[in-house]
Amino acid sequence: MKTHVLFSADHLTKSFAVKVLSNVSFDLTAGEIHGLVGANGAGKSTFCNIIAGLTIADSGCMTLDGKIYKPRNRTQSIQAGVQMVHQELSLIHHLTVAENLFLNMLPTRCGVIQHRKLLNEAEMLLNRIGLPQIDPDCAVESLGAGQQQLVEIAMALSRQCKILILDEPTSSLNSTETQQLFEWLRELKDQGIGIIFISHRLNELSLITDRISILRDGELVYSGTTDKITTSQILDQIAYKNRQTQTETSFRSYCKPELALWVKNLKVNDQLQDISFYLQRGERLGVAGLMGSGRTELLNAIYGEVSSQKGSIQVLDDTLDKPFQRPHLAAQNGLGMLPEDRKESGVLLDLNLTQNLTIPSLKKKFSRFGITQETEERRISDDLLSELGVSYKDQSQYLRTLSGGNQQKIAFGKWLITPTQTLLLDEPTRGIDAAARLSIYTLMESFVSKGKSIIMVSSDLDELMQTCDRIIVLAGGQLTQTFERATWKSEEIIKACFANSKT
Amino acid sequence: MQLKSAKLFVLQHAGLLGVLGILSLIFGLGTDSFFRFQTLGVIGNQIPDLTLVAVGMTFVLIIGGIDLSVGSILALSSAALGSLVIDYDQPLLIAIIAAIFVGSLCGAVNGFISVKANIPSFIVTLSMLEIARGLTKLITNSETKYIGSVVEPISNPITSILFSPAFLFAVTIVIASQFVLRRTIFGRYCIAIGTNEDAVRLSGINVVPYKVTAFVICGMFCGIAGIFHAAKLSTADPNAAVGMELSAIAACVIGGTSLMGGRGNVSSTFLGVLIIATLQTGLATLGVSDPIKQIITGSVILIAVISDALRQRWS
Repeated sequence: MKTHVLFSADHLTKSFAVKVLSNVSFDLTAGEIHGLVGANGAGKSTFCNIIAGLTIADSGCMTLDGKIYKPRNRTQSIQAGVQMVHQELSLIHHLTVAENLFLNMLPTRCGVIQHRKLLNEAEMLLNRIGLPQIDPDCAVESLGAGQQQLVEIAMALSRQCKILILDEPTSSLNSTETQQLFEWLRELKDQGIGIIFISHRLNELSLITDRISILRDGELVYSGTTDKITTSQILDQIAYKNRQTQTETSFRSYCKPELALWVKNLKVNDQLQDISFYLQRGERLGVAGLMGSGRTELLNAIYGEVSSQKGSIQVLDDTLDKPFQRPHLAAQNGLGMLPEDRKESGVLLDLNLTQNLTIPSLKKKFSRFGITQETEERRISDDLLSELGVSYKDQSQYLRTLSGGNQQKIAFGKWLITPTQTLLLDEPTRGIDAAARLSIYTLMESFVSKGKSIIMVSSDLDELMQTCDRIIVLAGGQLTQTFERATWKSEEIIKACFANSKT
Repeated sequence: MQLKSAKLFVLQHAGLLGVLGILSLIFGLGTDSFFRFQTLGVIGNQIPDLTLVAVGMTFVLIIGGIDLSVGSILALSSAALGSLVIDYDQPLLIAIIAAIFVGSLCGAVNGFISVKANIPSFIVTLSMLEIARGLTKLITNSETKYIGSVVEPISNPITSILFSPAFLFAVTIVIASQFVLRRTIFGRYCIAIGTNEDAVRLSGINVVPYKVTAFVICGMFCGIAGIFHAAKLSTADPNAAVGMELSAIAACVIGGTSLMGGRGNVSSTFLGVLIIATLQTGLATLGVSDPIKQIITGSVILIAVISDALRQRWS
């Protein structure tokens, strides 16, 4: 088999607000499976998006089959022969497997879909790629997550391509399904297709890939054949910190030896398994983990945003009891939440600043016989807005008109006028600038200094290490390790995130 | 203070008041009979039922729902009133209370099913549209029931002030509802829920009672509208208010209420009702035929909505 270079990238650089990729050079030969690993935010997705034409690099160039390759959008990259399977599925749930497989090339006669022909072709395709157990005429939504993922990959395989990019294809597959996938990949390899394989499961990488490249903080730090590196060396490379931990001294703990929250054996279907931990008063507890490790699900389960959770939760010196079934019950017991997606579910963009701040406390604090006390509302929110450091013109301007950072301060601030004792923060600084980020940290500090507590989920480990007393690590829906500030090392925490990938 | 709020009202509703003014001017110049004091009374006494239904609809639209069953609920309530007065010889007061109760009950059923079972209110109220109409026909034996003079005082104009008690009551409801929407916890949460229900729920608010209440209010107002409708015609008509849901939605939309929820005003809805009624009355005095009337009404709704969309984009 000849091994000519199929694809190469030369000094790719991309910055959004900060540099996410710098000078990444990478190549892929025909018939090669090239593994790509890195921690959260290392730049894997950006890199793949550039290849797939979803993002355009600031500088650097790419070649495909010896020719300059410059995709401006997805259509161009597909025409050039690049297929990408995302982590999130793009199947249309209500349509059948066959319809999904041939969505952009449905066989028709006079505009009418030829149902029989479609089914036959789909069946042939499914047989060819080794999924004869899937009925092409059943709706995608009736399949399990793993099978859906396989159909999604089959869809990419059904199209002619030179390069196939798989972004964490195995995260929702069980072991037989994974084996199935690996068989396909080996076949494709024999056909001379180049495959870029992103995975957090290091044992899979050593099993299936020919070469491994490691990204860390936007830089390519290692690239070499798979047999030359062990999984623990890979972990060392992923986790290695060349920056020294900074301003360690400025951290002050407000922990008190009193219980704020005790979570015991919390379970949610197949997303969370037997999570137990405690939270002290005045403590900031960080939750680290990779995407899909169950971080968001944990906060939702505590706050009652899912209702299928099992286990028990104790708040302050109350008794150990069933988890909350609805968010308002959690809120009545002194919990508050800042959800991950601020615009989608965190704030009310079309209400004004005051109304956003008083939403949770309206009934208790600002009403008399059901009538809103607007003067009082304005007075309190005026004080609060300056305390939060929000830059604004007028309290009655729509929240939409503020920057993301200021919106987030308000989302935080609304819990300062409620009797909330524990705040659940999900990625509180995502997409906001450095200055606003610091003010959120300051707000968190002043919140816990009053004996209240915080649980904070973040993909940014530096952030967790800068602001938290303790960090728990989730991997694959399990709590794998707890780290104390006195003894933690970032390398070890990152390794813990990859923990159940080694087994 | 009084003057200031009146000024604010004019400013906020400049567009709608302008449309109303232009319409009156056209009809006034086009006919000899429009610019008369009585015309005001005619329009005013024509609209109490539509006003109440549209105000109820405004609440439901603001929380992001819709109620298609308003016309049927209105008919069912007026049938209940007629039946109690005529068939069961009950005093008018009892019949009125029963009519309001029937309306509220229908609204509660709409609300509970759509909110608790999480079924789109479009579908739930579409079913209620059929069910309530069927019940109406059962009660009335599909015949128009003549109630007689007992109910007429509700709808007859009081000679000294030109307007009927029904109209005065409807205006009171408009003012009270505007107050509820803008100045109470319930109103604030309705608007917030329509804007972003997830965000309200995650702020620790139980949204269920607020959403159900919006439907109950709508049903209750339909019940009252049913009384006014019966009083206006002195009858309980099994086919009363067929298609009124569309006029009510039109009034809300002309007033700038968003069908996506979160945006709307009772006072603007009332102006929407006035515009529709003025159009109807004016076109009638001009002697315009029914088909043309419908075409013009539809066009006016369209123009109102387009101009509202443009204004939103500019601001």
